[in-house]
Amino acid sequence: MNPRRTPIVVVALMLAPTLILLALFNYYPAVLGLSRAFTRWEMGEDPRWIGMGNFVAMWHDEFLRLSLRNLFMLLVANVLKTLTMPLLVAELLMSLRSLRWQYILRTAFILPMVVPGMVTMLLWSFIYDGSVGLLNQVLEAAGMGALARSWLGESATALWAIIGIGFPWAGGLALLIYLAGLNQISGDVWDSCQVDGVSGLKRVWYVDLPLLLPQARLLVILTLIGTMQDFGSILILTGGGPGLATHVPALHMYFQAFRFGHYGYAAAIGLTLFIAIFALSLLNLLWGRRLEKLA
Amino acid sequence: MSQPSTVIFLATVSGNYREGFQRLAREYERLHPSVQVKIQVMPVNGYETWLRTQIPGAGDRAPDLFNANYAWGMYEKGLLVNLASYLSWRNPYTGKAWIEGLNPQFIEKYKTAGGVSFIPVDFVEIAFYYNVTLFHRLGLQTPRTWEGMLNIAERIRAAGYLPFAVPGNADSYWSGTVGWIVRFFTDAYTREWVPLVMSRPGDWDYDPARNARFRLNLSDPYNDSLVIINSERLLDAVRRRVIRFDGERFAELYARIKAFSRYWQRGFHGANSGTAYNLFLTGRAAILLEGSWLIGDLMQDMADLPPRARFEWGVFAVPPLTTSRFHIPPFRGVGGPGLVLGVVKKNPQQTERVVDFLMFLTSPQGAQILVDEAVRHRRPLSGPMLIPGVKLPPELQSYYRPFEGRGFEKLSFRGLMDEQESIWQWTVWAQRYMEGRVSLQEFLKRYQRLMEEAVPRIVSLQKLDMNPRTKDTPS
Repeated sequence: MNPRRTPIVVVALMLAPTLILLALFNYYPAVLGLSRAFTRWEMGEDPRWIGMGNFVAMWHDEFLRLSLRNLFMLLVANVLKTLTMPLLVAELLMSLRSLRWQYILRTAFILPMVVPGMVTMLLWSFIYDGSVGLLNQVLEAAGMGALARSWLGESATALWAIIGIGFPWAGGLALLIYLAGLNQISGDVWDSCQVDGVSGLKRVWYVDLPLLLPQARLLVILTLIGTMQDFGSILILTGGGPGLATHVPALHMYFQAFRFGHYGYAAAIGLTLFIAIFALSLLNLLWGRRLEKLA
Repeated sequence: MSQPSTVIFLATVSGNYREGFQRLAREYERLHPSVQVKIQVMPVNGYETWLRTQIPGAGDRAPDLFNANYAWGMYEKGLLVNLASYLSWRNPYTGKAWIEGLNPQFIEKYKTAGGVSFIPVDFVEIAFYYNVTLFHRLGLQTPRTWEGMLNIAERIRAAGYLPFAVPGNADSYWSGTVGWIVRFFTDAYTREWVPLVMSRPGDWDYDPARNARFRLNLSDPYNDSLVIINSERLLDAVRRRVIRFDGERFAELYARIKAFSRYWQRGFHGANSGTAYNLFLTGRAAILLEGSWLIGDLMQDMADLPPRARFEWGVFAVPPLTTSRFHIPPFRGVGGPGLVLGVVKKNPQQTERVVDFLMFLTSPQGAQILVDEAVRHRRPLSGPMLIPGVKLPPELQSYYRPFEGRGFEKLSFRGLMDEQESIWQWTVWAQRYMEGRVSLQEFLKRYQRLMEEAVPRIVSLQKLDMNPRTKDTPS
């Protein structure tokens, strides 16, 4: 027996509080939520089994149907954002000769991650404000005052304004993951590229991108999960409005549970979102592997 | 020095009266050396939860007096004192019956299950704040009619200013400016329906003193203020489509509101009350619909502006609509009581002592202390006082006048009976209509449907048997 190894009983005892709390507050509610999706469970009432009743109701829920369109737009936009700008910035940073400047700029791009999400949302709501917003002031200063509007207050622009949050979408976790991926590429590969006369965009396209596919796959999965689950920013900025312009299924689930007291129905929406996320992640995994093989 | 033998504990969220309550407590203690009055000003956040833990179970440690509008349902559970019998007692601080120094109509209107669960001290109301300086510059007078107000708005816009600053986010539709507009319009257009849905003889909540002699009189804004509405009759009327939302009445009502919105800032759906206030304060918008509680803040904010940016401002009441296919009475208020104090049931001796303190608080000299201290410490008052004889500074008095004497709304249909799902659905379709994304006919069709669909949900939630003669147990 290795004298430095901690006895299993001690390990179990030390892990027990965490595991118990995890089971009690994470797994139990999640499993309960899955089972309650098949019940009629209203505020102040005991749940009553109704089989697929909630799912049939979802099919006929016009608000949920309309929110799917918004979710699709957000998914496409967020995946594109994740796959493009952070990668571009990572490539530019890697191409810098000065390691010192590489470090400074990398820190500058990553630093905004420490700003709490709520603060970021409030900042962007100020930027988009129709009366005193920064964006409108910039447009007016540039002689494009006719374009000024209440970006979050008009259906035509509200969803685009939500998509625009975080512009130029270059910092944060995605950049770190791409940088890590690029750092993993052996120097020999790049030396060979130089010898073969493959440089610049050609090298990015034929060498870096295929080798960054695992990172891209991970980011796509994280983006899909994040986009489908997140409603906090929309709740803060627009409440899903005007009308249904920024309404998404996760927000619908939140309203059903915590505003209207339809817990069973909300659980059914939650279960459906879970299945959708799982299916999309699986597809991404399978296609990603195939792409990697092709690459 | 002798220790006080009785402690009266007032826990309140009315921070604007903080210093007033403190001075009132000291004055009372001076009159009654055996009594100690403890004042605790608490944050709104968590107050209701705190009350719900303290009042039912904390015994003598529970507050004696508190803001009763945070304790719906407690009176029905027998936790609060029914103050009805005390109203006829002599108030030692006025020498008259207590009720004579209060506002009897408010007390009657806000009775809970036939009893008096709180005493209202002041009330809140809405009115239009306007930029007097700008009005003078453009040669405008305050409007006498709704139509006149829109003509003024047209002239303000032609002069390059924004006529109205209006927040239009979802919160505003539910509990803010757009909600208020819809409420006073709906009240005016549906007052004729009050006899249809009021309690009738044999109903569990029928009170002959309030309903028996009621005859609809649209020229009296207080005509129906005491009438009891039976919620099952109301729900039944919606269910049987006796009350309809897709007819010509609501078509005209919503067309009017949309016509009014032409004078609001572009993209108002993205604005909150802070944005709208900012537009008014910075002189970009000429008129703002706001509550009486804004007066103190506006006076302060105006004083804080650089002299060049300051302007003279005033308040005018919501003017009446004069052109309609229907017989529309003048718009009424949508406010209600502001500071309302309830008494927690403890023992009879304690109740008598607390009621005595409440009599002192609601006497002209007691309420005057609240006002004077609030003014002295530059704290905003919620609105006009309901205690006769209390004097406000002349400037405040003139500002408050437009808020008074307009009566209060009775029926309101932005959503059904405040049921949250119908309110949200109404907000969605109303915003889409106001934005021009659905036609008036489409909106009204949706409105009718969402109101009908709300009926079974409310019946289920409130466990109603839809028989107005039986009192149903709320869930």
